Amino acid sequence: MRRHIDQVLNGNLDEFEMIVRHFERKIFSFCYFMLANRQEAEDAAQEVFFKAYRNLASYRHESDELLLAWLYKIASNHCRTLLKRKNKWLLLMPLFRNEGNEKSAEQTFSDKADVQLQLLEGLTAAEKEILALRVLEDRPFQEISAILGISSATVRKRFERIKGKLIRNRNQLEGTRYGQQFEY
Amino acid sequence: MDSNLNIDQLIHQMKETKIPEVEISGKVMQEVLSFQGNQKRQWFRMSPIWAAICAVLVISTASVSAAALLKTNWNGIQINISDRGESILIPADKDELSFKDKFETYLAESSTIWEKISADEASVQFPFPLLRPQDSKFTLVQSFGVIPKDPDYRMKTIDEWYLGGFFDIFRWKQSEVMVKQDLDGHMADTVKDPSKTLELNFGASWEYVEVTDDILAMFSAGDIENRLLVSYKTADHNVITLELWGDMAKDDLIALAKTYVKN
Repeated sequence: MRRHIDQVLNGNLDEFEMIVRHFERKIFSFCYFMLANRQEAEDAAQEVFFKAYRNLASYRHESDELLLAWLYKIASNHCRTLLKRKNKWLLLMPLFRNEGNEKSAEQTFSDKADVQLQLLEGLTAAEKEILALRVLEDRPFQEISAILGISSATVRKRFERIKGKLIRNRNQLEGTRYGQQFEY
Repeated sequence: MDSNLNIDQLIHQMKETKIPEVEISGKVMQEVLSFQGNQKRQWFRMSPIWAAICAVLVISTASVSAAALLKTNWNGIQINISDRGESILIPADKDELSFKDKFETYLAESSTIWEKISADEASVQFPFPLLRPQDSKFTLVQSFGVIPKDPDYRMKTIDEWYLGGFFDIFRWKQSEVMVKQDLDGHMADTVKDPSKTLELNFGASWEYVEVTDDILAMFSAGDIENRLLVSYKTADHNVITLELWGDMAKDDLIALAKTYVKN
């Protein structure tokens, strides 16, 4: 990666594509986990790499792992901003509700493919970040604390709380399904 | 009920979550190429502090002619030079006063707002470790700090001159140079946080001197005296700006600046 970064900074833009290809799956997975929507995750991942490009000169490369941690940091900030905006918009949604209230094809796709993501409901953005890095990426707590800028002890405590929420969410989900079965 | 087993099962299920296949590199590269080719100028609205402080431009190629347009990037800070015939620096007055003379006059007139403190007091009060020059052919004759009497003071108009900073005055042969240093919060914020952007636009009178990962230096020849601006990125990613004003040749100003930033 060092060589690719140096080439980009020397004006060889094509080398940046190598960097994107190397990390796009991980960054997209993180954004998908956070945003629970494929199109939004794709747009977000795109924006993360674009921001990384614009700020590449300020990045001090020491290892590929550190580069990935830096990208996660950008992704974390970006997804949080998007989630905040989304929350504000959702509060206004009842004012603009369509009479048909139909789901888009995208939303239907998301619902079907991402059943497991329903387990994440009620988790804060910060909690989702910890879960994504711990579960998807198998990052140690020490590294997660460096990426998110919080202490390792805080990460561990929050992870315990997250586990509790996941259990409750799963129980509620199963309870709903159970109820639906009995309707018939 | 073994809650740990439940959690492990849950986590296993989550790991099995089907993440859609995706390829975004094509779109990213479109955006990157578009950004490079069609950058719009976005004028950074300068705070009064910026209007008074000379910013440093990073130029990664050779010196720029008066008509050239140059864009470059230093540690995430976008720098543009254009032939606008303007300078964000405090312009030289037609009455031919040096920067030092104007500064001392303005300081005397603003004594209700600003005060001089000793170098020792400054080393305690300033929020960053002051850069100190190594011994050289230049004689250090005076050092002092200038701070607002009210720590919460905010400049009220764009024309107001921000006088805060730490100052050294040197003499060599018949020439005198004033060196001002201060912490540059805007640049430091951008250096530290990749998600922030900063763009600075300058007139074409400036000339590239040196650029490395840690140092940006730019020179401008004036009617009365010359100016050298240096932005120095510290080990903890703060940015200290040095401004050198004096009737010395460019090479001498550069030599003096290097006594501050070379270990």
